[in-house]
Amino acid sequence: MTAAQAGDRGALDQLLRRHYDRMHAVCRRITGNEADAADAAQEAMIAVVRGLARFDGRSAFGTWVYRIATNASLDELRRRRRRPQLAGRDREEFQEPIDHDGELRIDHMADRFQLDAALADLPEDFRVPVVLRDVADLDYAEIAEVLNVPIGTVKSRIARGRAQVADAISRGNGNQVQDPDRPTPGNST
Amino acid sequence: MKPHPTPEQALASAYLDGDVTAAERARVDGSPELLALVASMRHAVSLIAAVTPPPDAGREAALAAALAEFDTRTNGNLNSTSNVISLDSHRRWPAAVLTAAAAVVLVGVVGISVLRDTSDHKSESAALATDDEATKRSDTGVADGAVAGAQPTGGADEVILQSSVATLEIDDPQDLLTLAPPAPYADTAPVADTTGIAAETATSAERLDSYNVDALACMTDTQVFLADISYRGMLAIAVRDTVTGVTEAIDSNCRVLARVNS
Repeated sequence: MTAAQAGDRGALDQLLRRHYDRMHAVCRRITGNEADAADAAQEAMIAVVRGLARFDGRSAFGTWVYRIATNASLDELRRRRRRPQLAGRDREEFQEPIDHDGELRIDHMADRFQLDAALADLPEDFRVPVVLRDVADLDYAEIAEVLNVPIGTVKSRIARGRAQVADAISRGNGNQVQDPDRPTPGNST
Repeated sequence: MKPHPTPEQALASAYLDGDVTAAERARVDGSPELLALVASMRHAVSLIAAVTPPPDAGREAALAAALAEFDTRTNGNLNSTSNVISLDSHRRWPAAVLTAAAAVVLVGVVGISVLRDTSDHKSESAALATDDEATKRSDTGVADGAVAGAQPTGGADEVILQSSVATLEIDDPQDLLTLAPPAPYADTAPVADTTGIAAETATSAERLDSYNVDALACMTDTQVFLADISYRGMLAIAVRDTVTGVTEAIDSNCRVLARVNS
């Protein structure tokens, strides 16, 4: 990283290449689709280049780049809300690679669609810490630093976010898990 | 959605992260309900973490864009450094020379007034260029002898009457060197030899300052207009090549009446 900061193009290439996939994964989970994830990841990479000279090493490099990826993803989401959506854009033009290994993968694909839907339903304040914990593998303190919130808030949001996603997936699989916070047809008022 | 997890959700999430005490762990391990919740969360976490790797094309495109940004910034820094040039270096003509040029203009104006009152002006101004430096442009096909024998149409009196701006009388080719591009282009025109941008701008703008449209049409792209002149009695313009520094007197037939190296 020092070499990259000093202007070594080859070192920069290696540095970016090493972190790209994980940055893209963060973007993918926050934005919810491949097209926006690709855009956000690219913006994040460019932002890393622009900010590399100012990175002072007070935080881990990974924490720093995931913060950038997170911000880029949230920016991409805001842009997406402002622009008209093309029906089926993701599936027609940016379809993710499909695993053709066998029928066993079908369940996984169903889970994936349910997961995308569940994460999309999760407010950003909950989705982002969940993604930073479970995709970027940041610890609570690092997530608190990225989001500039107390560690207790991070723990709480992660727990709540995971619970909602887990519930959505379970319901999608026909395994109803009762969320005590969720009203049911029988007890809603 | 409520902002806070239930105690069971918080405990199950912390259990997954290993952020529990021994007592909390024992509590989870002893509760089928909590273990079920942990299992449900673990499944969700495994799905969240299992992101499909990005397509190679997308990865390479992002890397290329980032490296292009790096290249741009690197080159931009270099350019910004090279652009920090003292304006003094752009000032091709020292103040003393500019003062001298202004004096020449003044003398020229006075000279025109005198010529208007001089009855034998016509014979004096009919002197033609015969010096070695008087050459013709290669594309005119006019021989040196023709240049030497050429007469300005209508004679000098008519030329002066046609003029709406001051015309300098120049007999000595070296006097061409005292001319500078007219303000406000003096600081910008001749220096941008490497790009030609400033020269082009100055040329286009300065052409408006001359009435000798035919002679202006003879200018090359690298020449800047200096002044309308009467070179040994011949109506002409003085131009300077921003690349070579050569100053010329050109008449309306594209003949080079004089050429002087700076």
